[in-house]
Amino acid sequence: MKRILLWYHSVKSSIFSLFVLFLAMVMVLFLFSNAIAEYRYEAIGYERFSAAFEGKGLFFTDVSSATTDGNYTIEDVEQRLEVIESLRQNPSVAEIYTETHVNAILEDDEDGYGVMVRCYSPAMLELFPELSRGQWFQEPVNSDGSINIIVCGSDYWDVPIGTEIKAEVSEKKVVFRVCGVLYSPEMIPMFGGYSSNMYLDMFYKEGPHFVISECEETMDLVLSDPSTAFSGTAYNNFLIEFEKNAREEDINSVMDSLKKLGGCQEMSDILDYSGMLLRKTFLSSMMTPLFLLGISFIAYFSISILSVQKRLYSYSVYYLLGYSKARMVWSTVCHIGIALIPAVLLNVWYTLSYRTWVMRGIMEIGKTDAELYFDSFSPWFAVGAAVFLFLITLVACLGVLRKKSPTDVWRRSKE
Amino acid sequence: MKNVYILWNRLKTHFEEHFLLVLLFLLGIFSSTLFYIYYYGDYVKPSSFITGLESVISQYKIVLSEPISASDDRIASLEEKGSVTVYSTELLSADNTDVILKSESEYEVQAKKGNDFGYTAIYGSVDLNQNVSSIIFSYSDIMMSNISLENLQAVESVEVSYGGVSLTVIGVHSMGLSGCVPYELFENGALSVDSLQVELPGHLSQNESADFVISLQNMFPESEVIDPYVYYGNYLKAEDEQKPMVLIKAMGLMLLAVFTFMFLAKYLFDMSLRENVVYRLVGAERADIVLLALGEILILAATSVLSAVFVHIFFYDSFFEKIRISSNQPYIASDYLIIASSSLLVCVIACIPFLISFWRKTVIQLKNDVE
Repeated sequence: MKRILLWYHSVKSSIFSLFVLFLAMVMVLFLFSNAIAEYRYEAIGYERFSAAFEGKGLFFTDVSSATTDGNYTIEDVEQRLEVIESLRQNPSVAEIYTETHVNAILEDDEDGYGVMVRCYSPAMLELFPELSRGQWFQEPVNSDGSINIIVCGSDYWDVPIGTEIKAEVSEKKVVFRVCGVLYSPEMIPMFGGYSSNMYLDMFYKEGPHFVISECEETMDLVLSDPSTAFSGTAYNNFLIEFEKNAREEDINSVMDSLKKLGGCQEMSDILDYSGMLLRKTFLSSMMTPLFLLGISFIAYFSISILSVQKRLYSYSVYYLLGYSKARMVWSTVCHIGIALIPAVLLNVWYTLSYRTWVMRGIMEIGKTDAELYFDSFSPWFAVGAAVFLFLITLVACLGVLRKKSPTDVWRRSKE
Repeated sequence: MKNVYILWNRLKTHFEEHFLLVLLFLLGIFSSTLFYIYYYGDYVKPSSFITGLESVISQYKIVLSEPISASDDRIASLEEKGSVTVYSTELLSADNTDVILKSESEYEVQAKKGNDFGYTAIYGSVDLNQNVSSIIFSYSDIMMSNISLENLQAVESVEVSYGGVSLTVIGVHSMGLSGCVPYELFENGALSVDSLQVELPGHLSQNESADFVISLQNMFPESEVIDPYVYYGNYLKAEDEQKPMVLIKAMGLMLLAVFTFMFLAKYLFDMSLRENVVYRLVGAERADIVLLALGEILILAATSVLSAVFVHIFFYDSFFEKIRISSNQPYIASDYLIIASSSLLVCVIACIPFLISFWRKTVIQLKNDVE
């Protein structure tokens, strides 16, 4: 009780400076965790594609859809499916990443715009970020005929797993059953974007979407409307991954055959360019918070030393009355820590609840400037920084007390 | 002279008795200045237009008054300065206009030595080295419906006539507004040069650019030379107008960083409080004491600021350039001068609060503080 009282008096005497320190730490940790979240959001695509593509890859683009009116027939789709199927038969080709889509009108959808149902080849599911809740498809279609879906987008963040959603696709009644939810980060892979310098961000799109897995039943559903199934992205653009040991001439032969239909870009070029852009993102988002964090470490170290210096006379009196050196160090660490602990706790609370606040419309940070990606791992950055600062304080206290013993200070003060 | 002596003795005492605290103060201002230099170099000084589109601001287009041959010596001399692209505008036609062209019209093509434009094909091939009589169209031709991609895909080989030269369409590229042909068509005289563009390896400053434009105009009299700084002047002017605000923001951040270390300076100043009371008692003015304190801080801050500037200059190539976003716009002497002087100004501003608090106190109050 006596020690708590001493600590309370010590804190009370420097409440203003501790409050300023608390505000500074809140700001620095907030900037730091936001910068990490921004970088991690940008890096998701790169991490996923780098992990998925072990061998060489090709991105095929057919821009003819840009100049047509989008009136595709089932024959157009079937022709493209034949091309994809023949590529799948090629022994040098390991995987074809495809996606197609169809519009579904939900039964309880008042505005009637519907939602895009995207059908992915199984390989393409590797390119998704981790699900926020639920699990990936055990089976594309359940025994009762309902289609398993992953719902993506902030609109669906609180949809319970197992929810059945009734909808109409090309005048056909279907039942979707939610098996997973993806809202943080709110992004799914797709091949709609095109540029002469493709980068991986162009392969991702924000919600809302329903994701279904490719099988005979789901393909029938999607191809029931060839105009949407083929337009924009679907089968117009796709990714080919070659076997690791594929020969250069086999790859060139595939590329030559595809060049008669559209353009090809090598995945290695896309990954290199994306890596360069990611490095720029790192520099632009991380450097300022890192500098500020570095400066705050030095400031914290200085404050700790000064704090011990200032209390040394009082400590020397306590020491003569039976206070140990370890308690002196502990008192100083607690004195400084009172500013740090609430700042870290506030940051942990912020990183863990950010997505919920955004979903509830309480916060819109990151919605306009850059998307932020917080997960259960995010609070550890602030906790790590706090542990480091505690160690700094400890080192500073021990350093000062090693140099000036309490008895010396007492004797000197008497001289 | 007396004040200088006192100042010198005070600093000496601080170094001897509070070495660690002085060192931390120096380190704090040093790291804050390094951060300020970084921020200034990436957010205040550079033009984001030049950072993002350096190749665009390095391009000088010359619209010739009359066509010249590709073997002209002036083109050869320009090739020593940078990469030259030549342009020609002729009538493009096809035997069967329904297949490929919507209408017969004038069309611009470009060519450069080595035939490497760095373009990607969105259809067919962009390799002009395989066939000297080939042409590739641009994506914009398809977008503007001048050329039908569907028909290109439908037929095996498409022949067009360009300025009387028969060419085979081998593909569609993704960039630019012009089609591309092999440079050999210009070299062998089949096509002549209407206009040309030289792209320098790096961008010039505005003044250097104006000089370069004059040299190009002397080289090609009566031709129109387009200075990129004039052509994109509006973008650059808009950026310049924002710069004072960005500099104030940078100084604000520096002030915040420096302020974090001012309590150390205050502590050192408090250590001299007993001395200051004696000075006041023997007749020193308040202003003299305040100037002494300011002098102490300025000397320590100047040491740190200048060290940071020298460290930045010394390790720029090996480290600091690598962590910059706008590394294509290096620091110049005047930048370092602005950084050093504004850093010192910020340090002075940061210590104003505790100088004021000293100014307000009477001799008796100061004496009580000491006791």
